[in-house]
Amino acid sequence: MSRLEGAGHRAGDGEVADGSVDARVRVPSDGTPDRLGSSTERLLSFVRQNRSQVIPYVLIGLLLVVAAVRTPSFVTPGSLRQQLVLASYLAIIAGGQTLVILSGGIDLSVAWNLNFSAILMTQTAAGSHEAGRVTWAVSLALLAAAAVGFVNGLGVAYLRIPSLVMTLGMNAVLAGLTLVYTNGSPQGLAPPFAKSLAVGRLAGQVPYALVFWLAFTVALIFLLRRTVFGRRLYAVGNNPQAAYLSGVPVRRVLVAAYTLCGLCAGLAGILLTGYSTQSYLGMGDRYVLQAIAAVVIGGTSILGGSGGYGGTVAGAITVVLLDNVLQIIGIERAGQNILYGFIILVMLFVYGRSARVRE
Amino acid sequence: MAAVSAAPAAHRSVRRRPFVVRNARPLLAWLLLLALLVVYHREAPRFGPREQRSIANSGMTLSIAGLGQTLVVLTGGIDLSVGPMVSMTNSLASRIANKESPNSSMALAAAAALLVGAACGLVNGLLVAYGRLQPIIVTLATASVWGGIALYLRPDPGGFVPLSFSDLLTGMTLNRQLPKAVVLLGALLIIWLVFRRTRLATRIYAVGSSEGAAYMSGINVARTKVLAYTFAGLASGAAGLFQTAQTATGNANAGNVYTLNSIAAVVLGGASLAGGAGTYLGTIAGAYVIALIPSVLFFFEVSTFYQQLFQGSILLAAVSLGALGIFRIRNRLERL
Repeated sequence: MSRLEGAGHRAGDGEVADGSVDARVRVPSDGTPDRLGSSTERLLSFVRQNRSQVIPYVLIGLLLVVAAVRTPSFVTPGSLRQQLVLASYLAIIAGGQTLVILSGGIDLSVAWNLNFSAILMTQTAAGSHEAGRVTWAVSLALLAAAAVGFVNGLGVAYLRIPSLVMTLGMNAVLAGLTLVYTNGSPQGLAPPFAKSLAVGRLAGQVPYALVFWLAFTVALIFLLRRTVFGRRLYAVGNNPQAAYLSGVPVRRVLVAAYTLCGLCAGLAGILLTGYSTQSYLGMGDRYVLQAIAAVVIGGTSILGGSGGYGGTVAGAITVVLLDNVLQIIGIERAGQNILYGFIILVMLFVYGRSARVRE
Repeated sequence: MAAVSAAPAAHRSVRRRPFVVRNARPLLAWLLLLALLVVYHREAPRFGPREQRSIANSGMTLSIAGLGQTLVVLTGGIDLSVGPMVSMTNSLASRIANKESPNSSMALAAAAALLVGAACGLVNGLLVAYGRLQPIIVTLATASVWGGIALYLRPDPGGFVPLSFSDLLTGMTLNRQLPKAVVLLGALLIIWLVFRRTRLATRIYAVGSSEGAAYMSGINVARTKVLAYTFAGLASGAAGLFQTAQTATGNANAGNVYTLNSIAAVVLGGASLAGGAGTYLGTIAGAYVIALIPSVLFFFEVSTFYQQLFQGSILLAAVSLGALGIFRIRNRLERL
């Protein structure tokens, strides 16, 4: 869509945020769309239209500067590569979350979903290095994670349970199930496959995790931009009634989104287990808020229907950098929690306010 | 807005449905509670004043927190920061109270906890109503903030809580026959019954039923929401105080369970998550059902590991039960 078109339709109305792509196009305050005089105006207009991409990268730049000033060794290639590897785990969870948030929901069950599938993998593999056993353990973990997402999707799509409540309840059920299953102490170490995927390096240089993340990113962006499912997901997130009337199988799209989100949580569970060489209780807890923060910072509207995975990738890198910069500065967990809350709130004001009630 | 799809079902019958039908869900919650109490009574070795006190205390914090969550859910919102607010006020109270002047410092702690709770609720309300942001994500974000503040106030569990304060809220009265928590419960019921007859309550129900219609009727929607969230914060502060009295210590994480449990209590008590329908009378039953389950499981020698599993399952079962009405809606567009 051309800038002129978008500007013409939405002239002067800064309040419109119906979740559609063109709602993010705003007209400069002087009211002369497109024929911008100075280059500053042009730059401002570019920033306005691409802020979901611009904001996270500006944040990343700022964080890197702060880190470089405090600890110069932080910005060496080796250290930055490590940050990217850490970001890849988060970005995979956030990828699933992006799908669900695009559909207009939220998934709070990723914490124990990834934890449960990670523990299922280590307990099933039981320290065995035998290929068949490991394959079985990994597939079982992924299957369980997808099944959890599937059940979430059924509850949200067919019973119309609010996604928040459905996934919050599911999270408690999974936490309880994990406790019962492990009797309070998970057994087994990460299979070698998970370890090399999480921390191994291709030709000693490129981490496998980054290669995997690249493939994951390409696949997810292709899914969102170039497939029928992707288009339908945006349609459902924008307006389920309109999508239904246009022939979109709304419920099946929702179930698919939640199932994929569960699958992503399972993938992240395997990677995180490989990273820490074992599974443990509570390993997913900190990733729920971080993943949502990554999605929100990346400009995906919490109202659904607008955004994409490109922003989430930048958001995930931002969150991981922030995590580490806060540690460098010496702000401990309490301060981190407070800051994450603030960042999400600020980002909500930047992107996702709903329209005024007038009818 | 979910209210759009909920409205047409109400038009169908003009005549008022019978009491039992209208209040089927809260009554079901009370029946469930009664059944649990009967099981408890049969299995417990004794059922004297001491056991009654323990039961009454066990669900009290959740009942108080549930009052706040009920108000917010009635407006059509949700408050995910209830748990961290309980943690924070609990941590705060345990920080202020000291051994040198137990009574006056505890009074100050109580006032501070209520005030801070209300202030946090006010912030939630302002962000939701005037910021026009989604309640889910706002309260998720503020939950992180309140939880962080709680950790600052009390990095490690501990602190001093005067015994007199514990006795004031959780002890016995009337010749050691009546648990004080029962008196508190009565007070909560009266507060609700009086509140239900205020204009604010009517406005809260109206906003939850249909924000647009409420606006057209001249209701200040934003102010109503702010008040609902503020009262929810106040209730969370009070719940934090009861938690302080009950556990006689401060803990920056102990209150966090009340987010999930207060939602479960509200849903179990029959309130609609779409807003506009429900009663606190149901929430109380829901709260005590959730609180009693661990004790009843204990009698049947079920491992404590099952507690969370059961609580989560009950929440899911309750919401699923509440959602079954969806199949009665004929218009497929409204079922989306």
